[in-house]
Amino acid sequence: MRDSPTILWRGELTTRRSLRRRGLGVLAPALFWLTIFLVLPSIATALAAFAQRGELRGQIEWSLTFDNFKRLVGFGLFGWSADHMVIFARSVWIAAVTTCLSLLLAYPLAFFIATRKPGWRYPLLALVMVPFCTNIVIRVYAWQQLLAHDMPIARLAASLRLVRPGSSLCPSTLAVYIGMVSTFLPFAVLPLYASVERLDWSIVEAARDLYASRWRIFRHAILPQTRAALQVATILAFIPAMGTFVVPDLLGGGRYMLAGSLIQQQFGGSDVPFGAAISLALMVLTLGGLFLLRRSGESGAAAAGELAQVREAAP
Amino acid sequence: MKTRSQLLLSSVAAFTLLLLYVPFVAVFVLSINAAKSGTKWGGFTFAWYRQVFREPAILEAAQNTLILAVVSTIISTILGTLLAIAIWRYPWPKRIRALFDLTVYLPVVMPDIVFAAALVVAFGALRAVSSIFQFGLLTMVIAHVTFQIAFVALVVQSRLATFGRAFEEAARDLYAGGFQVLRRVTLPLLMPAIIAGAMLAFTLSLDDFIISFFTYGPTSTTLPIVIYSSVRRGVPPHIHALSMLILMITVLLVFALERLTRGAQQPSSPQARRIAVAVAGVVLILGTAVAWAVQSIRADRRRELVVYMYSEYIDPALKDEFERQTGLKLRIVEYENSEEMLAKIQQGAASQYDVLVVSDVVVPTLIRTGVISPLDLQQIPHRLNLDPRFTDPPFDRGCEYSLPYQWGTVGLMYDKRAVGDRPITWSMLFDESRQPGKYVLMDSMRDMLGIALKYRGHSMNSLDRDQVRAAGELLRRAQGMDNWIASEGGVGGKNRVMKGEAALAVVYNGDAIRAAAENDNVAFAVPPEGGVIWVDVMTITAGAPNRAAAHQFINFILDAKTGAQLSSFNRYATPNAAAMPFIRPDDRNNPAIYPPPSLQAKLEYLHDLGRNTRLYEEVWKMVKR
Amino acid sequence: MIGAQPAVGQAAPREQAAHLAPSAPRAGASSELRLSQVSKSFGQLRVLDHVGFTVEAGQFATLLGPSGCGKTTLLRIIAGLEVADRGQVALGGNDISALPANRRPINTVFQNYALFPHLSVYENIAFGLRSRRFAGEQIQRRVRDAMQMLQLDNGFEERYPDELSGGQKQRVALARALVNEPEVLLLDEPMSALDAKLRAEVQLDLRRLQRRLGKTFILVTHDQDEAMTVSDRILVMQDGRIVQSGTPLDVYEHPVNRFVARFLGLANLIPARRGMGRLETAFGAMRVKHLPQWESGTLAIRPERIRVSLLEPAGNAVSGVIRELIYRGDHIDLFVEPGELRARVSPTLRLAAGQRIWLELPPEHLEVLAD
Repeated sequence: MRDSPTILWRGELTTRRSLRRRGLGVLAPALFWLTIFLVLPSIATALAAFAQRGELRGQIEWSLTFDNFKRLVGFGLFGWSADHMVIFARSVWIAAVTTCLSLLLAYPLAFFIATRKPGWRYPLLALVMVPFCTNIVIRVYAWQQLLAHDMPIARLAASLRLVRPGSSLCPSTLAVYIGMVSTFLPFAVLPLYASVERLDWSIVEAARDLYASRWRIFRHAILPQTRAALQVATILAFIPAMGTFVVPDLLGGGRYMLAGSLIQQQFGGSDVPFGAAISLALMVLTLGGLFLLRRSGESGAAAAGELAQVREAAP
Repeated sequence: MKTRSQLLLSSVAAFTLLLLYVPFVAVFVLSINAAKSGTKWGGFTFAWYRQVFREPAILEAAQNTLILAVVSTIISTILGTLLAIAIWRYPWPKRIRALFDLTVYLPVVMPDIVFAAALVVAFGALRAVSSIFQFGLLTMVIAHVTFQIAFVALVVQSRLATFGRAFEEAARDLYAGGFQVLRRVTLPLLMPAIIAGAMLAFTLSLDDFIISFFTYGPTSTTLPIVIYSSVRRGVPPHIHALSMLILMITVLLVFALERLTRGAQQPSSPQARRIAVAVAGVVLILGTAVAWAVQSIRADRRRELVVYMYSEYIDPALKDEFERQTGLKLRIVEYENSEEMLAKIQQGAASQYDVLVVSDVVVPTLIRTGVISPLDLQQIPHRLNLDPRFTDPPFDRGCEYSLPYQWGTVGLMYDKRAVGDRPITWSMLFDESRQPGKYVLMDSMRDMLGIALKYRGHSMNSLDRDQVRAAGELLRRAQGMDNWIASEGGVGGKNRVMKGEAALAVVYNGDAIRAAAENDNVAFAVPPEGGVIWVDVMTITAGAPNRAAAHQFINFILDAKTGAQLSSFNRYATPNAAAMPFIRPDDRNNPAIYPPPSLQAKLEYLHDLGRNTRLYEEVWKMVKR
Repeated sequence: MIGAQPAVGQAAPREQAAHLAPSAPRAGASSELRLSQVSKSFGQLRVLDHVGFTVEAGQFATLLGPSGCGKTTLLRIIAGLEVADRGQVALGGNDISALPANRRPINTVFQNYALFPHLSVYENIAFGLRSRRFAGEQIQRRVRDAMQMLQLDNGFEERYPDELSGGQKQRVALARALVNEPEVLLLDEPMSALDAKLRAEVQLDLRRLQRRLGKTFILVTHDQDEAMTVSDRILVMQDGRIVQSGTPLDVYEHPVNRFVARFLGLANLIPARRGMGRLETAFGAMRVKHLPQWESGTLAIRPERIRVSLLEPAGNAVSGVIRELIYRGDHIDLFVEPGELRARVSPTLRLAAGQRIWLELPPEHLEVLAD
């Protein structure tokens, strides 16, 4: 009976083995592709993190070393310095702050859209989608232009004595934050909107019937229903925010290094193994963040399902 | 009656939307402003929009962007759909199923840049197997498809999950065989999800920057890359127009998509089928049109010479002249700094270029890694025009691999009004009490560290840890001061001084002098403490498809008249002794271009330090932090 | 053509059932369905336990039971959508156990109809015919006939499932199945998606349809009203077994155990012990038709079979007080002390709560249950 019993699978009488064979056939092209261009390269990069930098630029010397990680943690040529750790900490911090701010703004926006008359909803959603679908370079450099010293905003800030007259608001830390939030905000809106739209208002009404204050209504009737979506929104905003380098590059004036910029620099030709090590560390950090998120919330399946539905909601 | 909380909600929402759109408004205003830069209103004009269509670089990038998006979408939709169906349809053991799910989710949870890095490694290895994996449209398509598959699969999978067995069972109950079930029931019901997945993939491709940036080749730039490059140099107004055009197309696309998907919400309605057919048709037509256009436009590589050099480095008139004289098409591909160039070259793009115009610093590396090959000096008779000073440089004895293109210095560009009569010195950057105003530093590791070292009286090529570190400290402090605006490429700094935003900028002398010609308020000088002297040289790649034409180009440049015209255009110094008589007297006597011997003694070439570059890299990281 | 119309009320002659689908196996003239020793487990859960029964050709049989009793699984095994662990399914004498669903001359009406949303009504109905590669005109003829039979006029052809009401969808589902002229039609709780009023109408229509076609119908439901309305034969299932099988009258009037008694309609269950020639109960001694084998067990009597009167009756008399009285339009429900006996009486009787009355439990209606 162990060999291949005949089973009924979706109305078809066949053996498990022949089903698997057929399944493998359908799976093959995509799996093949992903293995060659995703799985193997990822493994290779992870391995490269343990390799040594070659004498010439961009070369890899495949000898096992933990040098890259030591460097990452700060043990450079000048003894220990916190430079890389600072960069990582900054990346995590910025990503976290960006995510929080994005959620804070996205949530009300999602609510706003979901509570409009149906005829208004799609155009409003489309309005949110347009930046989402626009290239990140355009969005970021537009901020660069807007914050220039001779534009109204900078002039206003100068006249309010917030900055010195004649100086532009960018590059600056503030500019980076503005750029980050405005870039990743739409990512958070979509899952939240999808969830709010499907909200069961009868629960809200029940809460109201039971004398709940506005805050209690929100906390017990609305928030729990959107929890999965909040998780998804966090993931969608946090991950790209961790790895971005365009925003700090264009709005941070080269002073502001994030993990993404660090990686880009290494792959920029000098030290591929070190770049690989940074990538690996970034990946671990990201996965760690995700894991923590999953643990503190609902099961991964629900979140994953929501994620998929979001993707479906996008255009 | 609006309650207070409703009002609050509305205002937050409005603020958020404003946050998303306000920058676009700014760019729009700039795109119709007749004034070349700044917010001074120069009148209303569509000239910049017209110019977009006249820039061949932009048109080609647009084409590439579109081809990339269409091709990658088609491939990834097919593969992604197959993947989703395969996972859903067949009985897999739990662990294998978990493995599949992991593979599908991997690109979604990977930050773009990590993914891009992995791809670079992958292509590096694959290039050893076959040379079709040179950076170019193929590698970009592969890269895009790889992350698109995951998203398509996710969308399709989520729809499949809502299916249940009912339809398949009903079909089997009604005598349909396996394939029939797929064709007549499963696929039609899945079509809206497949289309949604395809649209998502298409958008992601158009939207992508990071991955494209890591995998593009000289002939496959895309629109975002064009915009990014121009941003680092100071944005010309037609780029604003380009951005607006892209935005408008995006708006159209999104609204069209909303209409379509609204109809396709219920997989049942016949409308959805018609829409699906229509969309598929449009895509097919687009794809065919694009492919045909590509076919007819792609120049025959044999008759084209590709030169990789710094931006804004050659007179367009010379380019035309060369093409006229030789009948070849000359394609100039530009880069901003050596790091960028090396990245592209190191990752194997070398043989897509014929001629590389590079800084002296990198020549030893290029020689050792076999990227460039020796010149056949017989084909370059004009080399005899060269000033003897440049015929035996330390980085390439005997000019075996390289011949000089231009040379120059790095110094300070300044606003005369802010500086007044004071003598120009590096202390204007480093000494707070001496700063005449805001300043821009150069985002170039060796140059800036070298300057700091020179200021302290050390060599620019010092390997002394303490010296280099001290130089780094100096730079850090300079970056921390109020007057520091940014660290940018030389052209960026130049632009800021031009606009009056900064009083000082560390720039290449040619850039500064060209700026000074347009603006009386700015000038350039190399401080007496000394500075960097550099030579950019012309080299030929080892795998150059057009070696003969490459030699012709080098020879052309070294012609006396050409050399003079070149220097007159970019205001750098010519290494060509025979060209000197043809140089304008003003330029010849300009110490900013041709430094006097006393100053020349203080100027240093930057040497390639090999593995020891790490010292500078670490300090530089500390500076940038 | 699909079935001519016999006189109402008559069972359709066997010859009607002879109009068979091209691919149906024929051995004997009867296309009776016989299940034997069918068992199925899902993991540790034993869902069907050696189930066996026979449904004759042209019968309307109903599998009746609470949720979880295995009736749907059984239906799916007949349809070919599940495979039994053990046992056999035979149609017309041929063993079809190993045939996949798409080769059995059996069609199903699914619980939520499973109409293909992307196909029009016409195409839905034609689906099975197209699978079997019928010619275009043949398809058209048969589809139109089926639609007519189910009172779907031509205007419906081009409509899509999402535009139809529940009742219309059901008719389309029926048409889709019947157009293939299956030997057996299976219906999986087809009324559950309809509202109560519609349900009653549809039940009657269904019964009439089956009579007219003379085909074997097997219905699965948990609604005993429905089962009683449509069936020729009811098979009551509990925990994977068939506990009683018979006509509606049999099953209602003569339930074999407590489960059946309670499942079909209301029943008064009275514990009893064997006495001398009669049974001892809490209400006194009762005479019954046949003495049971057991020492102690249960008696059952339907509320409407209890005779209520003000004078003491002759046999099996119980004196009681009306505790509660509910007027129901076509009858009155009485709740009587002692014992919470329920009785059902004509609505014209003038009774009041608290009134003392006599209940007679006639022996011919007092059922002795197996447990």
